[in-house]
Amino acid sequence: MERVFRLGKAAGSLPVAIACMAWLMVLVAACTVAQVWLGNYAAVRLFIDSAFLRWRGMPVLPGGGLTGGVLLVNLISGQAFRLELSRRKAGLWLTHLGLIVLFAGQFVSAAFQKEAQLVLREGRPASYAESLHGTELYVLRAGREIPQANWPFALRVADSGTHPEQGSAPARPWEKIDVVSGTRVLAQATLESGGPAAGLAAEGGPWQVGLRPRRVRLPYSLTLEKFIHQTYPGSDIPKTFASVVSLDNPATGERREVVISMNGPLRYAGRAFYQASFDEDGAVSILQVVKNPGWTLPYAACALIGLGLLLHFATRLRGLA
Amino acid sequence: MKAKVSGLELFSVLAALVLLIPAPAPSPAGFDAGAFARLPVLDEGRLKPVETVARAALLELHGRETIACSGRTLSAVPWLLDALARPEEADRCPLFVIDDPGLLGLMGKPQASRRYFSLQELGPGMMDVVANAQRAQALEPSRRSDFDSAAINLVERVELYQKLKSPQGLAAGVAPEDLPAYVELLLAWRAGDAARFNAAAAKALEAARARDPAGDRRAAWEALFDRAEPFTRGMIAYLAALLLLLLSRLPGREKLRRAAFAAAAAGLIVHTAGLAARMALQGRPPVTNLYSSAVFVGWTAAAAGLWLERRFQDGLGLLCACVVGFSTLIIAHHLAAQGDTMEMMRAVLDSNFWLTTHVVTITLGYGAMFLAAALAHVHVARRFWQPERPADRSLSSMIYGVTCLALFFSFLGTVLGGIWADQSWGRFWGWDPKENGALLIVLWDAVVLHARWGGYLREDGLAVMAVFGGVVTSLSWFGVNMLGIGLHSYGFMQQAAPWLERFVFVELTVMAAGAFVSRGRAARAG
Repeated sequence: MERVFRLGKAAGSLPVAIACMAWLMVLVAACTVAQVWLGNYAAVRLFIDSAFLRWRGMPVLPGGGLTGGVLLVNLISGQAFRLELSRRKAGLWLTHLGLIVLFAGQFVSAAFQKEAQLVLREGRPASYAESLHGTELYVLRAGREIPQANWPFALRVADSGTHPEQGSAPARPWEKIDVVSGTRVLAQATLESGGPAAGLAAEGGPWQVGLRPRRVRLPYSLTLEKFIHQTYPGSDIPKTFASVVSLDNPATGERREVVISMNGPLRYAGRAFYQASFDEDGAVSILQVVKNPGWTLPYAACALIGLGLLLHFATRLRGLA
Repeated sequence: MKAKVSGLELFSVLAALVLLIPAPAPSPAGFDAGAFARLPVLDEGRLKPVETVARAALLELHGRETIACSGRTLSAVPWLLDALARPEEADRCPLFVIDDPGLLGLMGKPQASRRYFSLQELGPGMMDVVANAQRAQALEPSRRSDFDSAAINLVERVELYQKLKSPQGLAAGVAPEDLPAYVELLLAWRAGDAARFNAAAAKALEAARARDPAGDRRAAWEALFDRAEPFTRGMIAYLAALLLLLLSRLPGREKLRRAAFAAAAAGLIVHTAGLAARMALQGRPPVTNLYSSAVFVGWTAAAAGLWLERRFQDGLGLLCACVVGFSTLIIAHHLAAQGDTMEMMRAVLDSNFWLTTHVVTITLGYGAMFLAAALAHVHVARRFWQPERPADRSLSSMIYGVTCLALFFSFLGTVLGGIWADQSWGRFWGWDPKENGALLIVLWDAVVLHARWGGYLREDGLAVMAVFGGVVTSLSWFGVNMLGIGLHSYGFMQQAAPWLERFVFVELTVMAAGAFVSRGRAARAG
C-alpha cells in the first residue's frame, strides 16, 4: 500500500508535469512549422498523434501521444495523491478536473467521431452522406444498384492503396479486386474511388463493379431548396453562405424547412450538419456531417476550467495584494 | 467617503479632451474639401466617407497619411482630388517608396539618394519590374527573394493607384444619381474654381443626406474619427509620458513622475475613446482584425499597467504601460497600411457573440503576456545594473499576478476558440497554426506557474521565463501568419518578419543576461 502511494506520488509529481508540458510545447511548435512542408495532416500524424518520433524506424523521442498520455496520468495521480482536498485548493481541483474532461473529450472525438460529406443538389432529396476516409464496393445492373445480398459473385480485395493528393486534387484510394465465384476467379479489376465502374460479362452479365466513398445512410432525407450566397454590395467579400433545406423524416412524420449557415449548424438526431462549401454557382451545396458523441465535453471543460482558474487566482491574488 | 478630484486627474481629462479635438478639415484656397471628405461612398462593401478612402489609399501606397509634393505637404483628401481631377499633377508626386537595392538598380536609380518616386519617374523602367513580378508571382511565396517580393509589391501599388484614378476606383462607389455632381466637383477642382466646387459639394451632400440619413450621419462621424486620429495621439501621449518618467529619474525632478502619470492617463483616455468610437461606428466588439488586435492588446496592457501604478506607485507599472501602449500602437499604425481597418466581416467570422467571447478573451491574454514580459525586463535590468540590491518582492509579485491573468484569459480564450471552431466547422481542435500558437502560450504559462508553485523558480527565474512569454506571444500573434500557410496579407508581413526576428533575438539576449546575472548572484551567495 505504501509503495502504491509512493509510486502514485512520483507519477503525479510537479517535475513530471513541467517536463511534459515543456516537451509538448516543442512538439506543437515543430508541428506548426512542419506544416509549411508537410501540410496539416502529415505534420499532426508525425508529431502529435504518434507515440514516438522515429529515426530510421527506431523510436528516439517521445511523440505527442505518449507525452499527452503521461501528462494525463500525471494529472490524475497528482489529483489523487498530491493535492490535498481543501477549500484553498478548490480552484485547482476544478481546473484539473476540467482538463481531464477536456482530454476525455479529445479521446472520445478521436475514437468515435465520424465525419462525412453530404452533397445536396437543388431539388433532389439526399438520404446518405459520403465518408471522407472509408470506401465501399458496389454492383450495378442496367444502371440500378444491386444490394450485396443479391450479388451472384463475391468481390475479394487483392491489394489496395491510395494515390497521394496532388495540388488541389484530394488523395484517391484504389483497390485491386478479384471477382470470385466459389473458388474460381472470374475476373480482375483495379478500381479507383469515385472513378469509372468496370464492366463484367460473366454470371449472366453485363454487370458493373465500382468503388466509391462509403455511404452513411440517414433514416431521413434532406433536400436543398435554395442556396444563398451573398456578398457585401460592390465587393466580393462573402457576407453569407446558407442552405435552405427541407428535412423529411418518415419515421416521425416530421417535415420542415431548416436554414444551415456558417456558424449556424443543424443538429439533428445525433448528427450535426455544417455549411462547408458549394459548387456550380449554388446549384450544389456541400455539408459537413459530424457525429461526435463527445461534442458537449469541451463545453463542460470550458466552464470547469474558467470557474476553477477564476476561483484559484482570485484567492491567490487577493493574498498578494 | 467623498471622492475628491485631484488637480492631476483634472489635468489628464482636460489633456485627453484637447487630444480628442479633430484636426480641421483641409480647405486649400477656399475649397471646402471637408464637405467632399465626408461624402459617403461605397467601397469594399461598406459605405464610408471619402476621408477614409483617401487616408487608407495614401497609407497603403505611400506609407504615410500626408505627402510632400512640389514644395507643399498635401493631406489625403486634397491628394486624392489631385489624383482624380489633375492626374498629370498627381503623377509627379513622389508617391511610391522603393527600399530594395536590387529594385533601385533595376530601374537605374542610384541607391540611398531618395526613397520616394513619382509614377512619372518610374517610367519605362517599370516594364522590367513587371516582368520580374510576373516571374515571381509564379513562385511559391516561401521561395521568393526580397527582390521578388519588392517587385510584386511595387507592381501591386502602381496598379492600385491606377485603379483609384480610373472609373473603377472611387467613382464606382458613388451612387449613380450623384455622378453629375461628382463630375462637377472634379471639374471645379481642376479649374481651380472654389465657388463652383463648394456649390457642387453642398449639393452632393444634400442628396446623400436625403437618400440615406443614417448612412450619411455615420459617414460624417467616421470622417471626424479619421481626423481625430485617437490612436496616433494616444501614441504621442504615451511617448510624452515615457519621456517625463525618464526625466523624473534626474535628481530633484521626482515630481515629474506625477506629470508622467497624468500624461499616460490622458493617453489611455484617448485610446479608450478611440476604441469606443470604432465599436460604435462598426457595431462590432473591439477586435475584428489584426489591426484592432494590436490596438486592443496595447489598451489592455496600458490599462493594467496604470492600475498597477496606482496600486504600487513605484513608476514600474507606468513605465510598462507606456512602453507596451506605445509599441503596440506603432504596430497598429503599420498594420493600417494594409487597407481599410473597419473592413466588413467575412461570413465565417461574422458572429458578434464569438468575436466578443473568444477573440476579446484571447487578446486580453496577449496584453497580459506583454505586460508581464515588460515588467520582467525591469527586473532583469535592475539585476544587471544594481546586482547588490535585494530582489524587489512587489515587482516579482506583479509579474506573477499578471502571468496568472494571462493564463486565465489565454486558456479560456483558447477553449472558447475550440468551441467556436466546433460550432462553425464541426471540429473542436485541428492543430491549425493559429490554434497551436494559442496553445503554446497556455502551455508556457502553465509551465511557468507550476515551476513557481513547485519552488523551482525564484524572482530571477520568473523574470527570465516571463520575458520568454513575450517571445512566445509575439510568435503566435504574428509569427504564425508569416509561415505562409493561411496567409493573405503578405505586404506588411514581409516587412514585419525581420522586425520579429530582431525582437526575438533581443529578447533572447535579455534572457541570457538575466540568467547570467542570476547565476552570478547564486555563486556569490554560495
